[in-house]
Amino acid sequence: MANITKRKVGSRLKPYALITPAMIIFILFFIYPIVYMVYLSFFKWNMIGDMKFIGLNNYTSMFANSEFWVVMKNTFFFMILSVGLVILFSMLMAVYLHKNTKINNLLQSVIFAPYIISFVSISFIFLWMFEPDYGLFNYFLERIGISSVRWLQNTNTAMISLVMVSVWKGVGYNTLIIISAIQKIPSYLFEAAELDRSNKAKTFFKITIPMISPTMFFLVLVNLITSLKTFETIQLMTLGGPANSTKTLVYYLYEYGFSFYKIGYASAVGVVLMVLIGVLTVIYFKVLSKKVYYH
Amino acid sequence: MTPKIELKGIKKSYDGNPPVIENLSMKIMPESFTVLLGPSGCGKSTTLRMIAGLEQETGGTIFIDGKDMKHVEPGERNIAMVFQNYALYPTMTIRENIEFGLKNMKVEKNERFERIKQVSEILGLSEYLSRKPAKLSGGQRQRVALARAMVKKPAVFLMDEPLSNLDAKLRNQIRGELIELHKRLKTTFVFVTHDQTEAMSMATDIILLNEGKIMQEGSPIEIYHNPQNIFTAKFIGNPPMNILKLSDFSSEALIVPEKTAYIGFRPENVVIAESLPENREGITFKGEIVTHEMLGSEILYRIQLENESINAKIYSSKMTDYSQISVMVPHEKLYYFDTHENRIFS
Repeated sequence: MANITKRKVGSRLKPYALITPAMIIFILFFIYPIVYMVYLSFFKWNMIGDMKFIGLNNYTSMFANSEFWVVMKNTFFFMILSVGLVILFSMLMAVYLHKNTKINNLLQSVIFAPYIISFVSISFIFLWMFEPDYGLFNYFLERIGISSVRWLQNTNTAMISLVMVSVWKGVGYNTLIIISAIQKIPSYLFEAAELDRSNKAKTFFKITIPMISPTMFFLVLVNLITSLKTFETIQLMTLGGPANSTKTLVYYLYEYGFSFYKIGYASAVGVVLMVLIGVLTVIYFKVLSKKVYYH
Repeated sequence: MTPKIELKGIKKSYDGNPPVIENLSMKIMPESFTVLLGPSGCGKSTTLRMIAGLEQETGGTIFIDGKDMKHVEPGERNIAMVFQNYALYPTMTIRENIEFGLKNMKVEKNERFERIKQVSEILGLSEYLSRKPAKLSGGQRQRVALARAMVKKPAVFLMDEPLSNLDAKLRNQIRGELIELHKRLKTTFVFVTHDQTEAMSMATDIILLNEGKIMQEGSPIEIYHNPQNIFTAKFIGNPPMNILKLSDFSSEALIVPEKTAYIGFRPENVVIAESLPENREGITFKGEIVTHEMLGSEILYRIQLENESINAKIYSSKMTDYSQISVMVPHEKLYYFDTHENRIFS
């Protein structure tokens, strides 16, 4: 009898034993930092001196800070514009390139290239192209008779310039994923639609889009989160400027944490960012998942 | 009467490969239930898809109602197709599935509603209209596919093995429903299948294809009782016709037409007995029963002769045991074929 119970306990514990290594990593690198960040956000600390508990002061001063609200506005502007454009362009590219011809296979690899180049290299290339006096963009603008634009130095265009960079980098990856989703739609559905006298536009909106909706759902979510985390381009190209016009939450956090050494305040920003991503994800799943067709 | 659909000298090849269909001509009569029958790869589905316009013919012309269809879009051919896997739009409800074609045809809302109501009543789908296809069983999906075709009131129904994904019982049931439907709608049905039972049970006309060529056309009765070649004889009937080489027969005096190379007879025309009957009005052999299968009303025997084995179907409630027996086939039940496997009419 005792023997049996022992064996039973052993077999109950086995699964836990098997996931322990993964759980250790998960706790060490995910749970602990999150908890520690929340903990830090209640303190005043400059990384060297003593930690001083100040309760919710970091939060209240943050929400009272007009700079924070500018940063929030920038973050959402960047997120909505870049995700919208990435999805739009990727969809157009995918529709154009989804047939597996030789030239399309080549083009598919070509448009994927930006995705594997690091943001640092891309930022430097674009920095040069955005250069007002001898950059490539202004060269072309002047050629077609439009006066040159001070891309990164103008508060109106700086954010749009950053959006251009991240869209350019993201389109290839998204396009490939959409292409594979389109190619997975069984061809008989298109044939049935053809027999149902559906024109090309209607087939696209009534068949193609609904059929790839799970993929689009995934891509929008991933892109939203990626865009919220954008950092390198801002750091290398604008440093959040001019006049805070390109400062997003992540950069704001970085600035407070590693330039001003206000670790508590930066942690509070981090908590806001985390909650923001969490809320977005939940809303997104709640609202949209019902409209998505899963096989 | 002008044929509803006519194929003239159709050729079809897929880029670079030898043609699947070299030179195919056929006529499909109005209001017929025509079955394109043949083994897999014989070109029957390709033919159907060319009629639908989903596949472009490499050569030749397809006429529907006497009009050349070369530059007519599939949607404009006044046809509807039922696909093997139904091809329902998975993201739409059953109603939307049925309605999609009507909307594209710019049928008015009231009329759409009426027509959907009508077909869903006929096919017993009324209660499923707001569901998605994934929530339906195979048989129900099949009916939705039919409804989607019917609601457009096409002049021709094209069906590409629509029953092959259903279980045997459901297949029988839908077979019956299709026959009724054909009677009721009085339109042309073109039905592709590799299943001779399906073809025999539903068709008014069968077109038997092999390797892109027509082996025989005719009514089920005609094609069963009058096969023009060994291919037809063996394809139609279950089990198939027994075909024996003339050289297999012993020297016994057998009167056969000139040039006969093969002799055929249907399993159900075989008579077995323990010993040979006195008055021999047919050919006889000795053989041994190697298997017997009780199928209900009939018993199926496999009989090993000297060189070949044959099937015999006996309508009797008494099972003959594994034993040596005599086999007799009446003369009038014999079919003769020449060396090219074509029928010799005696």
